[in-house]
Amino acid sequence: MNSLCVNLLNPPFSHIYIEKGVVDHPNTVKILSRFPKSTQVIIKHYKDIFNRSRQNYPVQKQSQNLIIAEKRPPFVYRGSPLCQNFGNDNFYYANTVINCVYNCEYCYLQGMYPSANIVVFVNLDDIFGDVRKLLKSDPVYLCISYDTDLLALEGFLGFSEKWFEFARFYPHLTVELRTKSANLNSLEKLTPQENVILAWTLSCEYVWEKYEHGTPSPMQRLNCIEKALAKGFQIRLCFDPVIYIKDWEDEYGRLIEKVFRELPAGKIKDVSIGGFRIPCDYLKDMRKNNPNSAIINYPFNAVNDVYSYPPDLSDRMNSYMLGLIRKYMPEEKIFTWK
Amino acid sequence: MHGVVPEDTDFMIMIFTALYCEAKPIIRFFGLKKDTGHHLFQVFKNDDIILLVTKPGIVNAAIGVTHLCSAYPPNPSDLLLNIGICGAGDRNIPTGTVYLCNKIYEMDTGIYFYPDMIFAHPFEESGIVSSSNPVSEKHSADIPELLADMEASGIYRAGILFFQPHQMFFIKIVSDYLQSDKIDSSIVSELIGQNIPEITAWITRLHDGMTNSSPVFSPEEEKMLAEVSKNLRLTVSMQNQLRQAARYYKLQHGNFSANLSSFIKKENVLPVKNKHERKRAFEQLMREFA
Repeated sequence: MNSLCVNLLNPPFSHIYIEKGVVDHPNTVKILSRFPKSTQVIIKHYKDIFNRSRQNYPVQKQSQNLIIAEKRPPFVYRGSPLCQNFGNDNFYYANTVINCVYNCEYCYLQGMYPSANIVVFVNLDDIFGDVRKLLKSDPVYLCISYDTDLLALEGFLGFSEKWFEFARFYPHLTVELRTKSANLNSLEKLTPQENVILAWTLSCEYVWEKYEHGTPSPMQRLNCIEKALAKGFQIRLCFDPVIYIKDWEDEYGRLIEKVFRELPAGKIKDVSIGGFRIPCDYLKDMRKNNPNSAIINYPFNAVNDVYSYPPDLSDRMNSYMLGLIRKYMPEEKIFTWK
Repeated sequence: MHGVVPEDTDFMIMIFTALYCEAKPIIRFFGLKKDTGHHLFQVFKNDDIILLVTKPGIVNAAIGVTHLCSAYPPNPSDLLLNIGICGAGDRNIPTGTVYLCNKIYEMDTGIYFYPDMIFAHPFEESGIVSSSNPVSEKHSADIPELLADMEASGIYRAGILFFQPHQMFFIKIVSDYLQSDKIDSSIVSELIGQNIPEITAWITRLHDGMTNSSPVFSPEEEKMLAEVSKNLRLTVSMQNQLRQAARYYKLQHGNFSANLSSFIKKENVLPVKNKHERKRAFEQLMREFA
């Protein structure tokens, strides 16, 4: 059973599960004040609900609930070899939120976590503390919006703003906030900083329409990026994942043309390119959850427990994208995942 | 199930009550007939609904659910419904109030269980404490939830082996203020009976709104894939690769029968006589789906 009549469902965040230990945390109080109609359920530990057995990810995705919890150590993780480090040695990521409001069919979160409910860790100060410790020895490159879309949640969470405030005091810290959002209101509240990069994932029209459910259109994202550039934010464009679809060359060709027609290339910090890749275990669960999705049922090649397109196709896609983007951006600003 | 051969029956809603007096108004409402094939439990059913009386207690509840679900394994659109009376720790709650439980605390072990709260409903909501022994009024201050019963955690524990958390619903009707020894069975039937129309209207609407996703391959396509796999003497790994390629092709293009047919018709491919021929034929076959 994978689909339900919409009118049978509770609205999103109808239920908010709160760990007993963080009921009075200021961030908890702030979040709860935004959802006065939600039913609050007190829990001991977020994993009691998030890690239950036999949960149905696609069904939960249709009526996501919120879990408010305390992050326990480790607060900061080493960056995955499947992610790009953009030339940074000390590559880490931090999770202040798990799961996303968007529903992209190819997203690894569906295979990584047993639940589609969104977990918010309210003790940001503990995470900041760990980052401070790391910064004592080396510069740090930290991605803060991998397992979620922080900017899309900014309206009720305000965590992007807190990261901006934190990063202001640490010039050796570089923060990347990845997003698909077009949340202009949230951008208004943020002050651009040299060491905080807003990284937008951009997909061609076909991929957006067919597979990125609930996300802003490519044009809406471009409008938002344009405003962000005008405000002086550091902007990264991520053509990642590039998805193999029918007529992919035409689709991505049109996308690149549109992007650099709308945006001043000289103001963009850098660009990333990367074909779809995913740990084999994750894809197995995703296929089980969504057997009718064409995009995840591509017969990928498995190498070292990672699925990706066959090498010749991967190379063709990367070269093609690189060739297009090189027309607008210097090569040293283009990072390709291989 | 002793002496009962599982029937090829698709029940849609499985209902569990602890007591016959709780089941009675439901049996009457749906016109359920007693299934005499079950000797260990009282079971009642019609074409769509099957009800089992578990007898009171967490362990009995778990055994009852396991018994029925083993005999009639539920499918992904079936629902489990636990209906029963409960005690309330707050005298301000009127008897007859219907609750959908969002949290079940098992008193004996200190473990919490959480059914998914995905569906809109017209009832009150609360957590419930399940205990092997009745919780008395003098201990009401010790229980961490508003409601108390003797079955919900057992139903959940066994139910989760057969259902997913969004398929299980625990509906409790307040009958007393933790003085369960004083309740008359006719009052229990009355409390349940007066709420049955609303509960059943809700659960039926819910069930009707659920749709099963159909399998990617049709029976004919499954047959074709099996035939090709057999004729080419494909290894399990090759069969998996073929199925994945065919699945992707079908999801992208709608049909792959023509590709397989054209492959089968090629005289130089079938039958394969050795590993070398198999490899060559398999590569040729996979090119049909490129």
